[in-house]
Amino acid sequence: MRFLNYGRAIALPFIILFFSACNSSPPPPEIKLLKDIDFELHKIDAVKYAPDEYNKFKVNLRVLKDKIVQEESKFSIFRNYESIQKNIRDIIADGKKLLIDINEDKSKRKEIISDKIKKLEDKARIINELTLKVNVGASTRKLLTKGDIAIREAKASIDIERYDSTMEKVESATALLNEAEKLVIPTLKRYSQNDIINKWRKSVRDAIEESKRKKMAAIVVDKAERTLTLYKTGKILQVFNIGFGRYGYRDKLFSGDDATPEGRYKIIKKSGKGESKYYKALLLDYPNQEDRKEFLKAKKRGLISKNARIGGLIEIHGGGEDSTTNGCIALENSHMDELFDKVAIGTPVTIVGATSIENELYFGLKELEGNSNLIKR
Amino acid sequence: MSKVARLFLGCLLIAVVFMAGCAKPPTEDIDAANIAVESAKSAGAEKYLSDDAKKVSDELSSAMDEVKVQDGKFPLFRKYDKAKELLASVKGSAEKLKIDTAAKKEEAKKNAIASMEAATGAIANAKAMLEKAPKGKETMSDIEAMTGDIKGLEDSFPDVQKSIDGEDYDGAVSKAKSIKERADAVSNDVQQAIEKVEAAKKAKKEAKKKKRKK
Repeated sequence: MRFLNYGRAIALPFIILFFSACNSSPPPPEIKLLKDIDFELHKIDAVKYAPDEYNKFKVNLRVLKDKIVQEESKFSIFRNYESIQKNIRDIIADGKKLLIDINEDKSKRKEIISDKIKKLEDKARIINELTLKVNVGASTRKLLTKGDIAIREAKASIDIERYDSTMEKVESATALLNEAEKLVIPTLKRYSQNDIINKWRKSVRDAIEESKRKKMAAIVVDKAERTLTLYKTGKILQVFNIGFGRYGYRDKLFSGDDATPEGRYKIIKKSGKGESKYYKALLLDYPNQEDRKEFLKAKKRGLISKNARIGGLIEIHGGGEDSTTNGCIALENSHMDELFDKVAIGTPVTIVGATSIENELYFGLKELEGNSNLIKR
Repeated sequence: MSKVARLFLGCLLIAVVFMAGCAKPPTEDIDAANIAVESAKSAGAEKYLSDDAKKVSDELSSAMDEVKVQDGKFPLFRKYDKAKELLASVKGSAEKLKIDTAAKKEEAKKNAIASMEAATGAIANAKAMLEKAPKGKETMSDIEAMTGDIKGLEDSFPDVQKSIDGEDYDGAVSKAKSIKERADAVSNDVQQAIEKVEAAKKAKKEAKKKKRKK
């Protein structure tokens, strides 16, 4: 009996040691929560949005795991998770705070980028409307299309919360739309400068005055309003809608620029039905002296090719007010009938860009500038 | 030797024999698991199945922690069975992840190619519509604008192929879809312009008829 008691006393520690060495007690249950937080941080791209804080969290997590490993290496009777548990609570708190911070940061980013996209969409819309009104060439439309594609990509990117990629697209769209804007602005600016508008107004006033004084007909063409006004002894007789040059909002400088000239001209030839390709036509004395001077100046400055010619054959003709011409002014045939009989060779024709600063091109420019300022902010 | 001493030695011997069997660190299993995880990563698991890749990576980390737990124990009491089990599970998960990644990648590539083809079709359609548009003084500006639009589409299109070549399939899909949407919008604009011109022509004809009747 005694032998058995000694034997038990000696064998017991071995049995306890054996089982405590082979059985590992489970890690603290909060570890599961910590793993979940780590996984959530991975899912919200913490490494991208808060690299330093996330790295600190990962280092702390690793140190904690190493401590747990150390404890688990001990015989279970010697394990003590007390100090670790406080550590776990701290890291859980850090992780939760990081989750909240990153989500808030992402939400702010989303708001800022969405606002930028909205402004870019507005800018694209304004440029689109302006380029449909003021033809500034296919290259502007090309830039506009590429900008629009970049905006669409940015919108798709923001929907899947890829903010870095979204910002790249936003920047690309901004650059493309700025290029397009640069091509549109020069044409619009002429219609938004008081000194130029005042010069045009004076030309119109002088034409009306002359019509009144000489008791004769006078024609005034307002490009911004797209109208041709017929005056008789200084009074408005009729107003017709018109079509004009493909790049008609520009002042004509040389042959083939498809712009409509601005200045004071006279009708030098009347072509009746059957004599003109476009129903009936009134030929103007373009180029006048002023046009020749501007042409030579531009050539000297190298603004136009040395081989460029000044051109001519600018007419008021039929064909329809929706027509796009190579620089001529086009009316509906029925309107041409009405006009044709009321004017004569020598009737002055004054062509101006606008007679009021409150024209569509001015408003277009202001809208575009306003939008650009908003984007810059 | 007393009976007590013999019993003591006997217990010690049993414990040593018992423990010795579990004492070898599973280096081969560790290497195999690591290779499988790295192989899945190289296949693009982190890009195409990011969450699954993270899970496998965490599994590996837990298995290595178990190895460390056993490494830290007194040599006589080390037992790597659980670690081996975990490492085998990691290896299996990583191998599955590699297969799933390849399938996901292939699916993404197919999607990208399908989107590119849809964009090609939409551009071709827009061009065909523009060809059909009535050409004349009335439509010159609109046609010029839409020609510019199509040039913009064609200019953007090579980026889709570039993205596919660079295995950025999501980027390719996004770009191709944007191009298709814009191309469809251009087709719609052309259709509207055609209808507008036709309506204007019809109105003019009717006005002429009325005039003649009068």
